[in-house]
Amino acid sequence: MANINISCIAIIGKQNNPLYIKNFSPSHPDLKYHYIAHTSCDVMEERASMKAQDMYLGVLFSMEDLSVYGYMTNTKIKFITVLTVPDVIIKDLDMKNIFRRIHSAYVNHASNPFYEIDSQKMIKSKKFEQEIDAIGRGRAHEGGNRNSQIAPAP
Amino acid sequence: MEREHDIMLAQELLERRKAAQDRLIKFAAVVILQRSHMEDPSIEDRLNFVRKSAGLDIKNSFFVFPPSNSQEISDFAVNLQRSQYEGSMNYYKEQVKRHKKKKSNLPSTTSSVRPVQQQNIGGAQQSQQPQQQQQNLSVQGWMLRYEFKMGMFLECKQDIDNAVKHYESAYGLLIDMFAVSSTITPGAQGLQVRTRRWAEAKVLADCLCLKICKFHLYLDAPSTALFHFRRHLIVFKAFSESWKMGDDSFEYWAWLTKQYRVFGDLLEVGTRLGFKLPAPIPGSIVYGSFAGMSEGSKDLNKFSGIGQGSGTAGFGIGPDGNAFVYGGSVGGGRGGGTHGPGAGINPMLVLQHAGYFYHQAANCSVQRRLRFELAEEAYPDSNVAPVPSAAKPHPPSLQSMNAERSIDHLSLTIELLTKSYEQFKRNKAARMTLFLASEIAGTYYTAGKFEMALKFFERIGKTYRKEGWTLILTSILKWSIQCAKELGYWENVVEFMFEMLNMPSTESKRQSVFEELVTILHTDNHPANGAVHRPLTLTMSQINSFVDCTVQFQKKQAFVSSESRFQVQLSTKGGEEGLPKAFRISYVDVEFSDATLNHRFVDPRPYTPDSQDSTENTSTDIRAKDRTGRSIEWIDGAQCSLENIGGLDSQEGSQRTVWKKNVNLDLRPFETKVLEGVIVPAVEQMVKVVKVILGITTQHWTVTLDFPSQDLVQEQEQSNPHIQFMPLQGEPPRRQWLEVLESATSSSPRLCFKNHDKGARHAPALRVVPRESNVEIRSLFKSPAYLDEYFPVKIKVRNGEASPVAMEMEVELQSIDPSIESLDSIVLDPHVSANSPSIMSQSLHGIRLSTISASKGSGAEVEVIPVGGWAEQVVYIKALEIPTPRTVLCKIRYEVSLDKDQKKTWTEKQHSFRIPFIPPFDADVDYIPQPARMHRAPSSTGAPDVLTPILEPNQVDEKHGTVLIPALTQRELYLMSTRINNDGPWPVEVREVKLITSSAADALTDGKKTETDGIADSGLSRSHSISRARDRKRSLQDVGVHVDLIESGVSYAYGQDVKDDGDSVAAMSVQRWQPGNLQTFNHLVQVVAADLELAPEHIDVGFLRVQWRRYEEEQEEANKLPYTTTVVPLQPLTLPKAEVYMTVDLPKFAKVSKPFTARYMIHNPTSKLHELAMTVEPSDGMVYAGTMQTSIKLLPYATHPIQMSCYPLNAGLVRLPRVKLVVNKRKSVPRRGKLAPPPTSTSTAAGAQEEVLVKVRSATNAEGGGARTSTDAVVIFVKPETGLLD
Repeated sequence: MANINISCIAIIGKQNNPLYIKNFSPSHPDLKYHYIAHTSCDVMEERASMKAQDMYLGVLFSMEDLSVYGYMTNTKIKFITVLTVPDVIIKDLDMKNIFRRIHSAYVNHASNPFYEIDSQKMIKSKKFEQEIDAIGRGRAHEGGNRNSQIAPAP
Repeated sequence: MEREHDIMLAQELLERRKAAQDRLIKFAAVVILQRSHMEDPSIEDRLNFVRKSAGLDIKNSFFVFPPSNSQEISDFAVNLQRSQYEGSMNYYKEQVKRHKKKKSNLPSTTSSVRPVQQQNIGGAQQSQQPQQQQQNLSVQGWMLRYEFKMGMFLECKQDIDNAVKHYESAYGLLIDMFAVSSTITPGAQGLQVRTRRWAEAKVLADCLCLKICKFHLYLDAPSTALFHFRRHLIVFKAFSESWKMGDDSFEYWAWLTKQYRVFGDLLEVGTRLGFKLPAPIPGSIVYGSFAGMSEGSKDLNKFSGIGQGSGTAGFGIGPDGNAFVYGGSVGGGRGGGTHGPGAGINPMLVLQHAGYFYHQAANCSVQRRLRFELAEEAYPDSNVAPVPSAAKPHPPSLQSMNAERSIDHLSLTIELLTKSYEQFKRNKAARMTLFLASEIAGTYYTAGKFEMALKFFERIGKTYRKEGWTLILTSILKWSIQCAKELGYWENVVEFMFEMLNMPSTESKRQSVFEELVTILHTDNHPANGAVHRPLTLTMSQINSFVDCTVQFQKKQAFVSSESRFQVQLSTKGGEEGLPKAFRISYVDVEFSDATLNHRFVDPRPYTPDSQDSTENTSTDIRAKDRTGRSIEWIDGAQCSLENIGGLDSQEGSQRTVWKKNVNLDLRPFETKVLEGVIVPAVEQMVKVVKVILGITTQHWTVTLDFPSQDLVQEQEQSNPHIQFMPLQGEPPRRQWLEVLESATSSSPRLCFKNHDKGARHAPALRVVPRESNVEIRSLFKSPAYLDEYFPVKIKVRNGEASPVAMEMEVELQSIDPSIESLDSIVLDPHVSANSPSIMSQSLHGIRLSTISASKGSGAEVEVIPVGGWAEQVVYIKALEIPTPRTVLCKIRYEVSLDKDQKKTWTEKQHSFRIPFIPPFDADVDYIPQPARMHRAPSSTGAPDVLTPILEPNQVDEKHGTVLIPALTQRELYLMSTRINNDGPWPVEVREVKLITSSAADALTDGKKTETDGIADSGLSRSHSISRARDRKRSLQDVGVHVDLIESGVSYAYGQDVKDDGDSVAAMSVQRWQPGNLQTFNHLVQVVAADLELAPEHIDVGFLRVQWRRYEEEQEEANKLPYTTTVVPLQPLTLPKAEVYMTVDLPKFAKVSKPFTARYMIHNPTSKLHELAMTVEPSDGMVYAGTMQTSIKLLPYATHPIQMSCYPLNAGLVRLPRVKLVVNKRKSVPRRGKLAPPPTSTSTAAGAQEEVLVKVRSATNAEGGGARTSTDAVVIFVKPETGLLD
């Protein structure tokens, strides 16, 4: 995990609409990551059609010093993690773990009865942001169990 | 001459061969012959001479190539290659060996044996005599040289595996030479920067790297190739820094651009030629190429010191680094891979397609341009060499500056981006191409090509808008606005700004956009407003709108001329900060599908930047705030005034009018403005909202924001209007109607949103229906009805409305099958229609209803039916032919004023009923042949027995106008006994029953249609039915058959000369048939067939024409219905077949022991010769004298008599000896040229002697009942001898 330097975590809805895009690195503007997230939709769809079993889709593409990893849930929600890579080997296991954490954060958020799952609005939730932030900054799980949370307004 | 030439050639070849031999090169010659040489007989000798003189081997080193086509050329080339292959392989092998040896003979670089040379090399390179460096190559240089050569030869040998190894070590040696201090040759100094040797070495390194990459691609090791490429970049990045031309210099970026581009080219060529890029799917085997890693790291060992040597920290590759070392799970070799949880991948070493590299190259090109621009700024003069300064201690040289000045960086960037774009397009990465297009657009913008940039931006904006990538869209819009401003396209600027109003950005930015937009729109002296702009229409459903617009009707259905309320809800988006200020629109147009209902709400106040909320309105406003703090404003839009807005309606040509009202149209931030209006549709229809238009009209601008209804409907299926085009997901929000509640507690009314229709998002359509009618309709008739009759149906209507009304009725007879032309008709007065049959229609319109008490025929003026009164009307329905029920639809229309206002409206009520129809009569006919009469009948023409028929002259049938050939003519007489059954339950009055023979009917349809036949009524329809019959069957005339009525029995005809209108005259002969009555009619008909062979088996004799009407007891004469005619079809008559038959002539009776003569006559009515075999079977009661057995040849149309003397033995009914005639069919098979009638010759199996028994047809003289025929025997009544019976 140590060598993984997350620059951006993006969540894309099934209509390829952005749900959440968080930039963790100051080196690139948000716009860049928006473009990258949007661009990766095609790659993910192609990749998912090649291989359907696993939600983890591996590295999608690398652009400049950024490597884009993808993960697509069964409900076609796409998770994208952009890494700034100093030429190292990234273990799939590590990436899978990151994605699993993102996935569970999303599931937690989607379990909120006040969240419209199919709405195309960007996700706005303090709790969710915290969780993603923790993943992005490479911190361990934080926050209590989800039952103790106050449901944030969608 | 030739000889000399040959000698010279041989000499030259020899020399060359020797020269090659000295260099251990094998020599082969190809002599290409011209076509003219082929005819030369001495050519063989000459070639031999040349070959021998040059000392060339015929097998391996001397080839003759005769003139040939391209296929032969390639074959020749292949053969040549094949023959030289082994030799060349050996040669390269030798060469490699040689150079290996040479290399091993080199002194060690590390040995201090040759410090002088070493120093020389180092010194030379470092020294002030750069021109000498070519002469002295260091040991390392030689090593490099040999390695390269070995690589080259191995490559030629196609030993890629080994070639790449040598190239790699050559590369390693070369890299080491760049280092400040070499690790291989200790003490040696690196190449001097910017010297010729240095530049060459750099190019060589680039080339070597490319070659290595290429070979790794050949070896299907893409990651290794990429590894080498990236290593090259990293190494040289480090070097560049040390050469003071690091990533702040355009030279470095220019170099990098080139590297990426060349690598991209390599990949592009490779993929085009079939190289498959690895798919980096986790778990799949794609890591095998890391097998080369261990070698790579070995090589790295050699020059790992570079990093230290160059003194820069950028070079992160090394055995200690974690870059290329697996955590203990390195794959086993090429093609192998790592699996399982520990598997990992270096994403930087996943080879991607060329598009990425071109893109990278483009990025580098951008960097290069930026660096160059900085340099240009610092050193603008192209003649003065840049001088180092404190900030820039290592300026680029003047030469490179000037070289860079000549380069068009932007077009280079665009070229690279376009290349990348094409690659991504080929790889179907549509979104990536959009990204690249935005980059291209940006580059165009930088290059000042705003037109192009704008075009690109417009093209890519759609997808981002559709998929909701607002940040990207904002950026694109910003750029677009810039471009449009630069170009002076102010309409576009305004368009983009309207969309920008809704874009997420900081408050200040939004404010500035808003203010700029307002300024552009409202300021007269703004640079944009040099002239009046063309009207700008924005379809808001296609862009992100800053305001949501929904339209709904309060109810889904309304009555004509009644009021229906609708609401236009305009909600500004984006919360409190959505708009910095209120945005005033000039008018809101609501366009309905019915243009007469169009509404326009106008805000007539002039725009002033500061005065907000000046509430001088004519309309009522109510304001409130909802839970979320959104302010809600309800505006009463009712009581509009109808105004002419000028202009003609394009469709109707009438003046366009609109319902207009002045209201406050400030769109405030975080507000929902609800305009409630009222429409009163005048006609029955489906009122839809076509679109809502928000218009902004200023001195220079006419901007309309369209919210088309189609999209409103689409929106209905969308969960979120925020993003358009998205298909429906989830539960749509319910449509909410803002209701004004007058509360008792407070003086001001409250506002409240109410859900209507349980979840329907909008109700943009209003069904306008006529008011429900309170009229009651009844139909009275006596079912079932007969076909053909004028069937009276009484329709009674009761006025159940609150006021007396005048009603209009419409009766329509619905056709049974739309595809069939219906003959049915519906009339008001059967007498009129009977006299003029052409008036036939299936519907009656505009029948004015009158009350029962009113006299008939007073329909001229409108009669008002009082409340609760009954109106009544009889209609007559005449249905023909098809005995199925008919459906009658009855519509009542009337005008009634609604309760609310005095405006009258049309109301309609429908009533439909079915009437069963059955045929009135059913006829059954028996045909009884009358042979005796037949013989008598034609006797008038002369003695029949004088001549055989064939010899008789032709006769002319004057009646039918045809020529009859006696031999062929067949006459038959039939007694028709017809029973007519009155099927239905109603009694009928029958005036006439007449047999119309088919021939008569034919004649009738052939134009001799006369009214004298008494078929005045329904003549038309009858001719219809006959023509239909004719369609089905060929006319009798066509087949030469005539049917004549000879005699008829009792009939009800009242005489043909009595005119039809004389009902009273005819009344005398009218019969009344009760239901179930059976009437019998006899007719004697003669059937004349001109040629039996042509005649069909069954013929239509004709039909019975019955003139009748329904009998109503209590009816007065005047009210009685007219007679109608029904055609009763009869069963067809079966004609005798054209075959040989026999008649027998017997006395009336015989007496025992008194002999009598039986005369048989055999007839052949066919056109064929028949051979008959006759045998006589004896009878018990009779002995006979005559032929016992014979054969007869019967000519066509001939007869043959047979006589037989019989002697009865017993009294009583005695069977005559049976004459058995057999037609020998086999004999008749090979007939010569005779037209054979198909029906009799049923011989199927060839050779089987088919025997057809000749039948005895009804005997002559059968009147007395003395002789009877049955199917097989002829009998005669024999009286006893004693004659008691006499």
